Amino acid sequence: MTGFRILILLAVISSTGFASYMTYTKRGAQSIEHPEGISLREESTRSNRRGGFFLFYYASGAGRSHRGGGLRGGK
Amino acid sequence: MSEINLKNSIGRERPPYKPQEIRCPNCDAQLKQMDEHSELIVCQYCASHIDLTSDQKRVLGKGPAKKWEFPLEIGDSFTWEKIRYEVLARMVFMEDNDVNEITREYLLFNPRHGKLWLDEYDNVYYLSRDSHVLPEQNPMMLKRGDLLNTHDGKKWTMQESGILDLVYVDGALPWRAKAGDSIDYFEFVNNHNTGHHYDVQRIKREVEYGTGHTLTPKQLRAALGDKQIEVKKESKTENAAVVRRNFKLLFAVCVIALLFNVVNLIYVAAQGSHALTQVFEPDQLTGETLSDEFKIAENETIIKVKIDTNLNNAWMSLDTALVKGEDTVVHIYDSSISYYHGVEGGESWSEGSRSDSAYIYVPESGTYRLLLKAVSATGNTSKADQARHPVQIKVYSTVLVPGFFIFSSILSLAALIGAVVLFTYWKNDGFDED
Repeated sequence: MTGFRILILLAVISSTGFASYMTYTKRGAQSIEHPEGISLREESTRSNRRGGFFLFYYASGAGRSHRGGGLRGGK
Repeated sequence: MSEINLKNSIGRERPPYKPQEIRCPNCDAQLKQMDEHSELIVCQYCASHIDLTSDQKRVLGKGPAKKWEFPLEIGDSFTWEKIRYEVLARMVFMEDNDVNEITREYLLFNPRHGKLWLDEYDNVYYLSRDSHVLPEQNPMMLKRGDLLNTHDGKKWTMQESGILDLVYVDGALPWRAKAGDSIDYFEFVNNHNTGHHYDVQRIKREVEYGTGHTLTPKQLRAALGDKQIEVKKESKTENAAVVRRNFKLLFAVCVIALLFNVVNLIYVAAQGSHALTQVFEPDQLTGETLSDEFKIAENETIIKVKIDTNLNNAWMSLDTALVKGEDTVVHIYDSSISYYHGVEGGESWSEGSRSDSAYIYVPESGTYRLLLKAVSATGNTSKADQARHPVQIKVYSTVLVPGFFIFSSILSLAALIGAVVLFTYWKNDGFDED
């Protein structure tokens, strides 16, 4: 039983400390993927503008877009 | 016990008591009644239980055939606080019919100073004497860990309770005991961890109270003189007062942690300044649309992009890019939003959400915009090439991510509930062997 009590105590204290540290040091957000930037006006971009920037972006293999949906699960 | 005329230096001197010679009605052996209050004597030769309460001594019955081993013999000396006692009777109690749950009890007697009780469980020795201090509450209604006050102002914590069955007795006792008799016992420990106990025993309808403490090996050696027996220093059972105190500490830590996390969660949720609210129609989302400008005033800050939709049994796939200045895309992410609901088998159900939020760490201040593109569809359609639902975008700058404090608040609450469950289980005699 002492082990359970110590486990609970450690879990509470460590999670509270972890939450404080992560929150106030501004962790947990998405990091900027392209700090150097991608120009919307670049020729290579514009050449594909018929499909738009995102089409160019995903076609270049830089990322992946989810384009499907619908009812999932057991319902 | 030949030197029975001990001097008592305090109070009026008591007339000397002379042990009486009696004969066993069964085997005619000569026996000695050392204590005038004895109601029962067990013949050491034929194990007959002899009733001493009437002039006509009679045999109540025979003791059990099984002979139990005792480290101390009838007549052995026990010196406590410079007073010499003798072992007058020995008993063996069993709990739960378990031969491993054996308590040996010795009645120690001195004609001028009355009697002491020496109990041994698992080679831990415990010395007590009868007490006239009554409890303020009914001790028999209490559970382990409950508090008890006695009329001398002392506070106790229930250590344990149970039923002991007498399985063996020899020597002389102040009541007519026989194998099979049951004793309800309730043991309390001092709240200040002094090592003292307060005991309540119920034998049939008679309730007796006692106080005592555990003997250290040194104290026991000194009391027994030359006779050496195996002894342990401490019981392996946790002190209930200490356990109770530890649980209170655990509750306090859990409550403080829960309050701390909830207060911080509220504070974090209140952070952020509104930077943009804009509604995008489906045709704007089908193509790509840039939002209005919004300003981020601080370096190294977090922005929150909140998306609200009116999806109804529908889904939406939304691509979002964070654009710095006029045309520099610095971050891209996608969101899958779906909300379905209905009634099945008479029960309502819903799945998903109409909203989504993203937190983005932005290293540099400046003017930013969002570039949006979405497709959406209703029902079970799995592919779409245009948006059919509008969205509302809200951007807040200088926010903090609340997820950590949400997790920690839930964990603190779960820990508090777990601690209460653990305490309740312990109070109901769980964790007997810690």
